[in-house]
Amino acid sequence: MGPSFQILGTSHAGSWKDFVEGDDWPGEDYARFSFFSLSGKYFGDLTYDIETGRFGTFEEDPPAIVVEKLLENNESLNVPVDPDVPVVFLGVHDGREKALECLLFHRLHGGKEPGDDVALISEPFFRTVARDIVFATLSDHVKNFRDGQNTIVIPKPRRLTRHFHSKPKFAGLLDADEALAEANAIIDEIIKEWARGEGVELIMQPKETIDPNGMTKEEYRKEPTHKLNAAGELFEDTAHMNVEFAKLMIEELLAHTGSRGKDA
Amino acid sequence: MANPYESLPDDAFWRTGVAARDPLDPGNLYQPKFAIEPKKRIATAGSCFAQHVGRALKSADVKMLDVEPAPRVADPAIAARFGYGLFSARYGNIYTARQLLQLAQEAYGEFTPANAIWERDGRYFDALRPGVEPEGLGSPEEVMAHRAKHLEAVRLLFKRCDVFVFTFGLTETWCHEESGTVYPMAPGVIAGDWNPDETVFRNLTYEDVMRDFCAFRRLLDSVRPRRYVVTVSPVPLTATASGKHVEVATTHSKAILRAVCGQLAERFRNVDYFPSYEIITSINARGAYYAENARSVTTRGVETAMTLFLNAHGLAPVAPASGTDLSEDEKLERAFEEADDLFCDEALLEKFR
Repeated sequence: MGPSFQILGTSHAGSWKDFVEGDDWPGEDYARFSFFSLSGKYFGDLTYDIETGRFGTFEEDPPAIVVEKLLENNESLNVPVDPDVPVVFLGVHDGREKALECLLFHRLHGGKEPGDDVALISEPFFRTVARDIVFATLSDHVKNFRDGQNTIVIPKPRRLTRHFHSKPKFAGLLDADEALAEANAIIDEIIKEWARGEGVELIMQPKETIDPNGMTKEEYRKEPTHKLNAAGELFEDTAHMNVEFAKLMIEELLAHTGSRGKDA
Repeated sequence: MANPYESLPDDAFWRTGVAARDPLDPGNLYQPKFAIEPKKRIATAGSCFAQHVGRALKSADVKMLDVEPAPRVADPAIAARFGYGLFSARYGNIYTARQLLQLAQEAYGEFTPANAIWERDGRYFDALRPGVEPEGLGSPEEVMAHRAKHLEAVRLLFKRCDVFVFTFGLTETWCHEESGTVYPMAPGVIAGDWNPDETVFRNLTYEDVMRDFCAFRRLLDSVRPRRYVVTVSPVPLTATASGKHVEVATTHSKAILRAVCGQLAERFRNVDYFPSYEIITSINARGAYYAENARSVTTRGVETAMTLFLNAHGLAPVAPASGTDLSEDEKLERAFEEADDLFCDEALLEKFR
């Protein structure tokens, strides 16, 4: 019997749970997993309002569930006590993704519409602001769960994707795909820098899952792990990870902890 | 026997107008020539002190223009380090009337700056606003592309603004001799390399400054007529290249700028002078508005000057909104207080002594 992992996170952790508990998971030979997931609404302290472009807090609309309280009462929630390896699986509900997408848009286009009063932003400015956003939101996430233990952190399973409209290269310098690749590389660097500062172990997203060099959006949507909704009805969930993605993530985790060779 | 001084008001006499005044009371130094109504769109530009002017106006019941704001997700203090939110466009410090004129002419295709890109350690800087990208950009092409977008925004600003507030800062400048291009900083301070045969020191004269601002006003008024408020920065020079003592050089520069402002206000109906210089430097204030370095203006000094301006125009400061707005304002306020000189290119000259 392998080590016990406690996966803490948002709905993506829930989706992973569906996979481990499903037929595709070979069982507990390698590791035991327990999951604790909250919906995005109740997860982070920060929100991002796409309309106003501002970060907010839940102060005006306090969450019904407080993460720390849940963990204090973990027995009643069936959260295992003292897992060998706590793993924080970062989700997408911390405002980070929206904020970074917004920032990337400005890197490429300036304002949302022609004539908008927003300047084009430079790569150094993008990097500086992205760092500020990532540091604030990741630290917020991890402090919710961390309790002096060595914690493994896996950044969000999705990366920035191309939400902006196609446009000719900006002054012949950068096209949308180049901007996207540049932004994701910068964000990866920032996350690694953050992890060093926090003293947490970091597992980056397996490169096989990253579009366009690996899994495409269409492939990502095949074989969703999350097949049933809360009412037990068949539900093809394409917003969370698929089976292949879940396998790759688990292999990465097991390889990282020495629980199993990646090629095993 | 009748004489012309008999019927003059108290403020025409030094004893009653100044000496009898509380040291921190600016009195009635300013009577606006024209009103700035709340609906008017205001633009600011100028030296470091102009940032204070802009910030005070933002807190008031006026429509401050910012044609190049940072993305809203950016922390205001970070944005300020990159030149966002300091002036009505991201042109950085405009210290001289020549620089202002040159910007307007460039925006309308009447001028092409020489040696417009400076390099440092493989990074490239816009020589006309070298402080707005502290780390520089990746290529000369990128600098040019960003400058083109900036000039587009400047044209928009000049089209939109009803009142242009300019704070004169310096007469000393560095000039590309062959083309006449002036730079806000000497090459080699932030980036670039100084070639004495190419870039020379110029100390603009009264006639130069007057001519440059008149040409700027003429150009803008040809787009559409508007009003101007001119001020003189009370911040002394950080350093002089004139060969004179810096204190003597400061008085020389400020005297020229003050005289030009007075003349502009006398000559043109659409130009008003706001005496921020007199308020801060007043002998009656006994230096109370200067920080320990005897150069930077304290928050109290800025507040005193700008309160007088806003009250004179009936533009009471607006109470900050609650929630995130307050937080952002406070962050920017703090950034200004903690690093006043950080957003002032000229202050970088300190490092050479």
